[in-house]
Amino acid sequence: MKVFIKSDNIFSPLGKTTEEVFSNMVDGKSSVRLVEDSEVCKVPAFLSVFEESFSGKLTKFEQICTNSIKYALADSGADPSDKKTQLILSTTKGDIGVPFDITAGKIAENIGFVNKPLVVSNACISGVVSVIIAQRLISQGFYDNIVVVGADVLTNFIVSGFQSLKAIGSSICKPFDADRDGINLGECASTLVLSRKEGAIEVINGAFNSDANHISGPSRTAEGLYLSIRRTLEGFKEPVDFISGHGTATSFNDETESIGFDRAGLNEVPVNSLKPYFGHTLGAAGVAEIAVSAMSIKEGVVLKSPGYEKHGVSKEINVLKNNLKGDFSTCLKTASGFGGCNASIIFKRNS
Amino acid sequence: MKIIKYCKIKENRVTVNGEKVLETAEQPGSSKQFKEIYTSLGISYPKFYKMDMLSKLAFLASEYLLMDMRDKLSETETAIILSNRHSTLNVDKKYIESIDDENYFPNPAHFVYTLPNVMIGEISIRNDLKGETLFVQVPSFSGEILKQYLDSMKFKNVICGFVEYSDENNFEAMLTFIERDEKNGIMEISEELDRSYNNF
Repeated sequence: MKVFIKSDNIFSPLGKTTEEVFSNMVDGKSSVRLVEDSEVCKVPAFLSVFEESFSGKLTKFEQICTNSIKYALADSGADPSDKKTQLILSTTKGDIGVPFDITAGKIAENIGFVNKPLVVSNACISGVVSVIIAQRLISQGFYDNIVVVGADVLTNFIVSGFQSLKAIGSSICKPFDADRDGINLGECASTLVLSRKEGAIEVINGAFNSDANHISGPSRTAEGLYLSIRRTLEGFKEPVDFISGHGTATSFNDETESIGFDRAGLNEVPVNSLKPYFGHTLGAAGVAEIAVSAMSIKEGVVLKSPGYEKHGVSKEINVLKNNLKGDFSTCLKTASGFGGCNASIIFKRNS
Repeated sequence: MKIIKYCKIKENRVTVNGEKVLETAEQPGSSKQFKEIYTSLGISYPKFYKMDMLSKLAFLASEYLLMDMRDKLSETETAIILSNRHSTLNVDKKYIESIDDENYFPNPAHFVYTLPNVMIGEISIRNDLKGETLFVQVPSFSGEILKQYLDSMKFKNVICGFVEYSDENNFEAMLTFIERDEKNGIMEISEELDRSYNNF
């Protein structure tokens, strides 16, 4: 059974809808800035954070998830109170100290989901993996609709952690560039509603695989990423029109990704990383970046990869310096994370 | 799908297929107890000492599970799915201590373990497993929830279970080795999982 993206939302400092976020990205805008708020980071860092405060009975995390899901559900035709509609939450840290099922349960109850939500917490590939799981469950007939919401908020816990690894960059990040020096983090909630009912974008296939090499650094041979891409594209007869990479702008990640793309023979395919626009949004990353890339297919514009000026990885890959207009039908999204995990997914315009 | 072996570590016992294989002397949930279990395995794996308590527990349970099962492991087609309720609460608390206002010294060795899928990474590194791996959070051990995820994963066989370490008094590991089976089992995999979990 075919599976489609019926609707989507991105709720982020760069915009409250996918359309708004995409439009800002087309204009080259970024919500990443030097943040000196000690609530978020004791040591200043380049981050994308919400300007407004989220007061009220629900936590900030619960609010941004709820907002994002509500926006996405509005256009989706999916009814949360249907037994064949499910909710999957993708997050790395949720509301720290609160079991994720409690958070997810509150969100689900608020919106009227009748099923107990599922929660995937698999580092930075959580978003892509949640969408893959949703596609597989719908295609086998277990559900008619699955709402995938990915989210993370930034706190001193997360920011200081990445700072302790010397992973945060000294400016807006520059994926694949020779002078890249680290990531930006971003907070965000993003939602995709997957469905058996036809939509503009069809989700074809996805796969996830491990490096089995190191818990905090990627494999030198991009073993897991390559396996994942190979399995995702198995039997897929059409060309990959563009790639939305993981591109965190750490020295290791981008280098490994280039090796993975090279091994898969994708050297010529236009590549971008969206992380300079709104940061690395952790649990939301895969979901939001799929939503943006789906817009690229719909609008006929693949976004440039900001900050890329001098080629800084050992393999020849086609990183975009400018927005590219054209007829793009298919997109490959990739992601990698701590623990040596990797995921990829292929989706295309529904013809 | 069918469970062909399962292992549980809880309190002062390690059991395999419901039978006690080790009773420990050291304080349950302590580093010393985990070292005692490690020693009982008779292996040499120095990386063990770097792991946080959750990863150590997952590792120890996997070593007991995979003992004399290694010929069944496939580099690309053996999957791993683990679950728990409290994610990485124990090491989260340790990390938070290192970023206390009074004594701010973020510890990267702790931070790296504040993602619950990292314990899966340790198992996959140890056994060279490059198949599908997944961590999911659950309100409690549930065969029904795990079955949903198993239905969404691709594998020939899978290490599937629940590993929790919130503190010394709240820890347990239950791992099963599940194979795909053409014949219908006597009971659903969700029931088999619950039954094995409760058989300690």
